[in-house]
Amino acid sequence: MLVAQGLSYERNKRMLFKHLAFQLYSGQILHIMGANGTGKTTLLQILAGLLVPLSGNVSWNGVSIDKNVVHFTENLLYINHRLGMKAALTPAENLYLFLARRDLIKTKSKQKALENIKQVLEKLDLNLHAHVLTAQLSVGQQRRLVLAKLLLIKADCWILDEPFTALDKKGVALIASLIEEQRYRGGMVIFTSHQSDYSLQTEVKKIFLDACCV
Amino acid sequence: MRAVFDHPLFFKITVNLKYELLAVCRCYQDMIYPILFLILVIVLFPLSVSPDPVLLNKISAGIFWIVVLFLVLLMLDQLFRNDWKEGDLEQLILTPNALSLAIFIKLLVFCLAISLPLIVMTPFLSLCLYIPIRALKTLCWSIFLGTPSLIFLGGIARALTLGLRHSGLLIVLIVIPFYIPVLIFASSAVSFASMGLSANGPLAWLSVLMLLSVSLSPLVIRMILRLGIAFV
Repeated sequence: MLVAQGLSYERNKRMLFKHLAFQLYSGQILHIMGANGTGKTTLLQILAGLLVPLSGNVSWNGVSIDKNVVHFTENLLYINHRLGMKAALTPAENLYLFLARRDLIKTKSKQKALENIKQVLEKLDLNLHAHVLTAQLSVGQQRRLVLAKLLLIKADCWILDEPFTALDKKGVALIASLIEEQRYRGGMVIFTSHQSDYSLQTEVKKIFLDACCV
Repeated sequence: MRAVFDHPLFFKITVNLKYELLAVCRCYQDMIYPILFLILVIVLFPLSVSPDPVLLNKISAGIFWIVVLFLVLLMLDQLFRNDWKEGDLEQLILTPNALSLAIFIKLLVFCLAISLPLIVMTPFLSLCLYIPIRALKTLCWSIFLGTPSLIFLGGIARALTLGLRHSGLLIVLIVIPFYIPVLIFASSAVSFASMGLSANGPLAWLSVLMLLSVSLSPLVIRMILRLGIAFV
């Protein structure tokens, strides 16, 4: 359960949001909407624990996220407009490093991890590019590659910042199905998007951020 | 011994080290210009000042170390920059239990990328500056012990200024006061050795500084990154 209480944040002497509060239980999906510059990304950064809010706090399963970082980040996947990987490594290397950093590769099962990565890349139609440098992939392919993290590990809380950008129809459908799957598994998803045709079957909680007066 | 190699921590370190090294080697162009700059300065210096061995012998240790310091300052701009631009650093911050180790390895790889070519070039460069052969060993030791402290301290300044657009000047201002002890000990070690004296004292101080900065600065950088200053 993710609970936000009384969040407020100010940028350039402009209040982005004030006393924002919500609760999200497992199996729920939250869509944060709003025009450009209303603080969607900032809100997601605060929820992920990258930014410290001016006031208020975020807690995960009853424990404040800045008090218990490990407990929260084990269950968190955060994806934003950046690649989140090294452009100088190939997709396969990047995903291997990602798994190793999270202690998910046992010393005896390296082969299994490699198999796993191969399967995920096949699912994303990237298997032909598994050993090309990530910097040489197209923007859309890089966005696809970022999704590989969602497929590789199970995390209870997904925070996705504009996941639909630069993806083709198939990619958008893939994300929609991934979000549905996550819901059935009992995880939660928080995402921002300007698109409304992502056609999720399930109900979605929504928060609108408005250009706030001072 | 087998138990050590099978340990998950060992595995994590080797994987991190391998991929960081790979990433640096594949972007070697970024690293080459500052080192070229260092070589040029040292080669041109005796040409423009005077090739008089007596004069050069007196000032060469200081010149060498000032140029090394400039090199590190130039290189600091590259530190964490790609990771920041590509968002790898954010992902690291949000990875449980990996941050200080990964920072340590990043800085270590960066050190290697700077000090290895430097140590390889040192015999040729010291010829240009008339640093005597008997001081060569001390010079290599001073680079080996001195550059890690420069880079690990610089990493703190870099982490503080990550979010800024023009961070170069600020990094220099933050970092220079902390570089002065390293500069003094390193250049005095080299000049002692070239006079034929024992340089163990300054070298010991250099290693003290290195141990302190190498062990503590990853923790400090982790705290800075977790504070979220970089994202504002």
